[in-house]
Amino acid sequence: MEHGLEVDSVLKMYGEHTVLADIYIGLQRGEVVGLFGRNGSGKSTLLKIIFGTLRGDRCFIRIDGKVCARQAFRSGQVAYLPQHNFLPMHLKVSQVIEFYIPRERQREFLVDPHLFKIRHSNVHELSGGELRFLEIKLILFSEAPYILLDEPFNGLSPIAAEAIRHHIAHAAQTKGILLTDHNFREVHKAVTRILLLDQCYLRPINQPEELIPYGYYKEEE
Amino acid sequence: MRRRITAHWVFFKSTLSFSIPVMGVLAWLGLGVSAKMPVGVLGWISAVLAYFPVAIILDFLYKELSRKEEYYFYHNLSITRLELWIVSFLLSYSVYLLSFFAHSLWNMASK
Repeated sequence: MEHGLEVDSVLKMYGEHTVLADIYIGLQRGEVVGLFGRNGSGKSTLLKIIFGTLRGDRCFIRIDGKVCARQAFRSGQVAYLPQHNFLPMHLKVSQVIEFYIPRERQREFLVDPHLFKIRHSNVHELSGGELRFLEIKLILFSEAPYILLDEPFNGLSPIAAEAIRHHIAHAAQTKGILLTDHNFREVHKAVTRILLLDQCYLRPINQPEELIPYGYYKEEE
Repeated sequence: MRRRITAHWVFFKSTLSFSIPVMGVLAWLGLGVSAKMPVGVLGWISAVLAYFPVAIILDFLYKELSRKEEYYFYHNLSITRLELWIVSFLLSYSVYLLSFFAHSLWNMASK
């Protein structure tokens, strides 16, 4: 894979307990990969290891053909949306936008009914849904070509979730996106392929029916 | 580069809401038990600012316990946690050194 984000041989153990073993993920620009798995299966751990904020016991990362010897986020090639809100509360929305969005795209960023009305607000004044929407869109519009989204649909209204799905599809025209969420119906609508993290190992899911044994769909659906 | 510098400045400013009151308390405790009191306004400022780098270290512990997620804001700008704290510590130490040199110069000039 000449262009793309490759993560290979990931191993993560907490004491004697293995969380991730021999994980390989290849993510190319233009694709949206959904990562499924039960609570505590290691999805967030895997995203943090890829981003570089958690050290794996073993992990090799290559970005667009270049081996990444230090934390991936330091390359500026990977952006990450954590599970919990991450914007500093003392900043204004306009300041945050200045940091993340290139000047020539700021107008496009703000032409959005969800964001236009809050553009002069302070971050701490936003509701949970507004804040989450802003955070997701900031990450999707950032300059990084590879995006990791940890539970992006969490706390969003159905209308906002639909808008986010639209933004994900738009961003995926030029970026590679890896996302995980418990709202698997929303994830399913947004992704081009699915991976399942089960008992430390990652396996591709080709048909939705393969998820039935894991409790994602009922037999009759 | 300008964006990185601004991000460091924003992070440093975010430490002030914690570190300035803590510096005040530390100075009050420290100078309260000190045998030798500072002389003059600049002497007092310099003596209080000596606790600024210590307050920054305590803010580090505070943020590690309660505001850890905010680091991701800076990580997404390619800045590590270590960089943030080194820059903030150096800035706080520089502020103290400036006040110390100003006080020393004042003392030399008034002799």
